[in-house]
Amino acid sequence: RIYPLMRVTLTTSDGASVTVSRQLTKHSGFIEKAITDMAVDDNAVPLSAVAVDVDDATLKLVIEWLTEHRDDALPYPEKTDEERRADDIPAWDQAFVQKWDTKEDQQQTLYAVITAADKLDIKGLLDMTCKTLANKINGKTVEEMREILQLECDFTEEELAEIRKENAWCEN
Amino acid sequence: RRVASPRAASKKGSAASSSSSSIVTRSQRKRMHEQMTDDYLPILDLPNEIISNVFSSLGMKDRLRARVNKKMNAIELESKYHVKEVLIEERSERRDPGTIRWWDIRGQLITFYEDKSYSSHCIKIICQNVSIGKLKIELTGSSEFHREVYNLLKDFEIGHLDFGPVALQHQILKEMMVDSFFLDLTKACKILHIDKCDNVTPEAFHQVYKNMTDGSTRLIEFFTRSFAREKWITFLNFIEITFRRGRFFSNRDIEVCIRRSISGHDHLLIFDGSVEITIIDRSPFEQSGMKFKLHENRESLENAKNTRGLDKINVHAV
Repeated sequence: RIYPLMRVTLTTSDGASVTVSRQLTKHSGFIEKAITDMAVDDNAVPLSAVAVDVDDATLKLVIEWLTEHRDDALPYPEKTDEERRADDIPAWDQAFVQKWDTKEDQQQTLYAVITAADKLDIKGLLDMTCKTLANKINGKTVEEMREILQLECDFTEEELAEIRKENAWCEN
Repeated sequence: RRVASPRAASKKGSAASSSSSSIVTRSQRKRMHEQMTDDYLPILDLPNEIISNVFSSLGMKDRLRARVNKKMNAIELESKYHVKEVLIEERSERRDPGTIRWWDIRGQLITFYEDKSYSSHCIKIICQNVSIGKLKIELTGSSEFHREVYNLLKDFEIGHLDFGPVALQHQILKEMMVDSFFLDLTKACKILHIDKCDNVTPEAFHQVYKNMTDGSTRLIEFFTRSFAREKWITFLNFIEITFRRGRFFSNRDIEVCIRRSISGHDHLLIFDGSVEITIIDRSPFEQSGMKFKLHENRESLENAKNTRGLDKINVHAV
């Protein structure tokens, strides 16, 4: 049972503290496990702080997303036998990540939020940000993908020739 | 790995960056470095499961293209994914961009053009980590490439495999569709639809039927539209049912029904345990159709038996 008024204090990797409702933290597998491991009385308000390995700026974005998604169903549905698509990101989430486009460090922000979602075990946020990353390379040529991801080709010529043969139908 | 900086890249001296077999040319490298900014997403620093998650949201084409280096290639090959519908097709001309087909909207297309050469490795790469809900084949050529592609189908994990009328018009598939190939296909999918099975024997149909009844196959449905009438009569003999002059003879515990059709092509339905056999009985000079359907529960079986328009037929003891 989750007590809606119960609050959790999160301490960030750069020393800040943020207090949030348990209604939000219930979506984080990491925080919920930390609370369970403390074996404290669930009625205790406020709860002892949970340290998260996420910086303050990123945690604020995570909390903004959690606030919008506080009523999402739990557990997060695992759709292993369904086709996944990158074009089904909800409108609010699209606008949420598009706000970063104007930032100089938009790529690093996306990276930080993906990493935070992974560390905090927030499956919905992780899926959404992975789809956002997928959309950045969707429909791009191999060279464009390399440039976007800043990855160097480390194939030998023989390996590259093999991959080109395998991908011939993709380049029609 | 990501190029951390031009300086770091040149210090690495990897095969790709320093040897004569380098893939990235000097001018390409220069351009890449010019375009590099401090803001990048170091994808390879993410755990493999997350990179795999990114791959799983890409279409098949983008997924294969995203194998831009060795690590990305290795992760792509290891991560399983599911595609709802795929059409493998062959075209003689480039598609008119204004033409939108059903598959363009609902499924993913693998298109081969007749004037280009391809390696069957493209199919081999795909089939090793994908599961496909429905795979439809519309290849038209008759080269070694086509033979290899057809042979690879048995390595796929497929829900519904559909060889439509386009594919079966082509000589190479007609030649290949013999008992051994047919039996391999029945092991690769849950539903198999083959328009023509001219070279498949009643013995092979019987083998599939036995596999379905004893649960030794994933197959729950098989349908063919066009094969010789005497074949299904012979097949019925294998399961101890005789069809002679429009009457059924058997000592087995079966139920037989008929659904009359205004076209004259009556449907004969035989309920044998949990398997329903439907035979589309045309005149002795026309090709027949046949379907096996395994009902996975009693409710499904009872619903099939109680379908409107079915008339029960007496089964005579031998």
